[in-house]
Amino acid sequence: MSYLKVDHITKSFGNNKVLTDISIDFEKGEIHSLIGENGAGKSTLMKIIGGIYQADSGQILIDGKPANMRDPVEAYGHGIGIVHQELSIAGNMTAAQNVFVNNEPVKKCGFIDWNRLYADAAAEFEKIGANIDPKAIAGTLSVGMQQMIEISKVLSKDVNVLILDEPTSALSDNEIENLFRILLELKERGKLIIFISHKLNEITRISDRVSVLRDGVCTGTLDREDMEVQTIIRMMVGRSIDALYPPKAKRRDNKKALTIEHISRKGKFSDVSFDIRYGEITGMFGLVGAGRTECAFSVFGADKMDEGQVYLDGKQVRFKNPAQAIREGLCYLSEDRKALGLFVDMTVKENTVAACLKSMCRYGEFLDENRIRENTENYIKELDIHPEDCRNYKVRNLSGGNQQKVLFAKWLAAKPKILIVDEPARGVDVGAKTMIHHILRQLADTGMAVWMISSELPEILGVSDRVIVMHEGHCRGILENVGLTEEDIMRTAFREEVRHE
Amino acid sequence: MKKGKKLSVGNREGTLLITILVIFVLMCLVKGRLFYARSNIEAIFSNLAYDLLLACGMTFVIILGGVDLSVGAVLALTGIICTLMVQQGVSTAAAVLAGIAFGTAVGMFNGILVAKANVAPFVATLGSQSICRGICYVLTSGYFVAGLSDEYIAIGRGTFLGIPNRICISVLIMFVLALLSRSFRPLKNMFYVGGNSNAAFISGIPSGLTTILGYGISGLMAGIAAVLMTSSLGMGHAGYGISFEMKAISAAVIGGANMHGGSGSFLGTALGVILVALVNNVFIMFNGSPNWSSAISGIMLLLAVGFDVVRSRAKAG
Repeated sequence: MSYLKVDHITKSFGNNKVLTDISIDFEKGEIHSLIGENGAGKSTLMKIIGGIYQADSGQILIDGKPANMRDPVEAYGHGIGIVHQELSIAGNMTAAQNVFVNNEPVKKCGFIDWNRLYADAAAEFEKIGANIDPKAIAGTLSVGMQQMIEISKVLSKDVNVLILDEPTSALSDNEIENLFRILLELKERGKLIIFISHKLNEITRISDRVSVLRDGVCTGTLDREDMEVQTIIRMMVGRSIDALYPPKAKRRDNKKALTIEHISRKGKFSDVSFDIRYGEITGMFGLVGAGRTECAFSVFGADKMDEGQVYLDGKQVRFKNPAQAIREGLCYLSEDRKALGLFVDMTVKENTVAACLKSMCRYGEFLDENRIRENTENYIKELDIHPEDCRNYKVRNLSGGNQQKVLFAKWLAAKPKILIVDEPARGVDVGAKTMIHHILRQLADTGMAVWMISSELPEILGVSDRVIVMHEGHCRGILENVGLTEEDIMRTAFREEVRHE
Repeated sequence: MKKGKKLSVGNREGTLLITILVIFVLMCLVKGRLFYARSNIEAIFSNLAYDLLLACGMTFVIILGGVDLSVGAVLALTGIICTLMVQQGVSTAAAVLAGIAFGTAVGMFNGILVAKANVAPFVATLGSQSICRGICYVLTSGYFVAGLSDEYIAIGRGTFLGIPNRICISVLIMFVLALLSRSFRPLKNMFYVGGNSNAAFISGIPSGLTTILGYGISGLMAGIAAVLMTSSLGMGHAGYGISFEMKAISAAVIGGANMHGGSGSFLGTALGVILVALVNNVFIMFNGSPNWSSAISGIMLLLAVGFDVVRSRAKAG
């Protein structure tokens, strides 16, 4: 009999049915992945298991007994812990304090026993093989370390079921490896791990079984031997995506849009030179900390530049702020759509025109409501944003993939000549990802210069015409994407390290 | 396509309007002539003009995610500057212009502190509040500034179609701001900056200038309120406007503005001002002590906030 059983769960928010009659069995000692497009209901299901939401009907069975969990504390009582997609680390406190938040070891009279706190935290980190100083201030640690802290926090409560919601989206490759090693160890110790991810290669690599959700319905559970990428994709989207990536540029006339010469910014990147051309997609690959985003920030005017020249259409420019860059037709789509991209408490309409308010005005400075509505409707149709009547919805209420499309709409509405896209498909499902890649190609085909920053090699290889390889603040090479392999790119990135050996 | 927002219990303006109408009708039925006598209605509206102006300015600042604690003191100081000038024989127009310009300047100074020097709004405007209030006492030693020209006094005491000027002016300004805030780009920008200032910066919206403009409008409203108040009372005094900033914040929040920034409604704010004035009057009608007025507006503020919490919980399912 299965350890954790989700039995005919149904859940609606208002009129919106999010989960329909979901039944999944989870066993102890397995890594069970959950995959589905954004809005398929994965997170909602996990929140029901974790006691954050209540199901409208159906029940959760643990060891065959119905478990009634009205809040996360009761879920912990049943041995269920969640590591959420957005980490909840108190950045100004130490790693140890974060692990034992609200659960600190105390002396007899109620004061915190600091020695035991740090010793216990060290033991917890030891258990998962994380090399973290318990006295380090959590905010100064990398995202990967913070996630380890979060995992320790959950494990310290002695859980049997560990749920991870998109744990790898902000991690570097090394950190992902480390996380997987920990997950496999936990599995050996007989824990049930429920792993939610968008990355098919990760799922096929570590899971024992995978369950696929589509529009709130479970379309099936696959065992390890049946786990084929094409099968999973078909179950997710109801169709198989034959050509995952769009074709390469048809016509390349090598007309330079941006020429960047020897730009530097202290502590971020130094002596970087490259160019971006009309009609093609230039990929910029680099691992976290390579200085890609920083480089784009400086060119875009969101940060200063210490040295170097930037030429736009042959004319030297140095943008003091993003407003100037946007006026000249250079736009930047941020990797962090919540912090730097969208106004989540405003409507889709208001977001769509946020970067082109000036062009929406008549009689001087008065916004033309009709033009704004038409523009928004056009982009909703063109980018296939769901639901179709979302014009006056708050962006917060859309799914991740649709939010990303609204972000695209915002920048396309600003009519850029050159578009910088930073991790354009981060945290979106396969369907939306493919669509975004095709949109980028269409834009390039209409003559736009696209500068795509990404840390995902398949995306870089699948989409770009040329690849700029960044590593630790330096440009290590510019490669034509003809017969290029992941290995070529990684070798270029680690060129210096290889040479020194 | 429907124009404007629907008025229903589902949104704040509708709820407030219905509440106000219900109270009004009930009072007319229960107290009859005593309530709807012209003198009583005028009593309800007597201070409403100033509160409405300050609350409108405050709404902008709250939309920006800030707060302006200086408006009460700016009102007092602007009033003293105007009345001193008039007392010294400066022409009415010049005095009024100087006063309004001064109020705007203090507001913009607050905005610069917040936007450019990165001072927390609470601290920046608390500083301005103390400075302005202090200068009031320095200039007047606590005495009234009287002996004003008839021309100046006529601004506040005059009537237009039988309605006091000060009410006409403030209601007019409220409507103009309410309309402009939806379509005039520099004002619309406030919603973006308050909603997510980093995203606004990346989107090319001038967040610094927008912030300065918002605080500037708040100062401007205090300046206009000062002219209306001193002229209708016939004198300036250092003690005017004490704790008006709190009334303005309450009204804006009751009207649906979110202290975290990004949302607020001028119609809501106006209805909030009216509701507070009305409830206070009801209390007095039933022989309650006027000393309760502050407590009543506090209770209403918390009720409004509680209403929001309940509604968002209900929405979240």
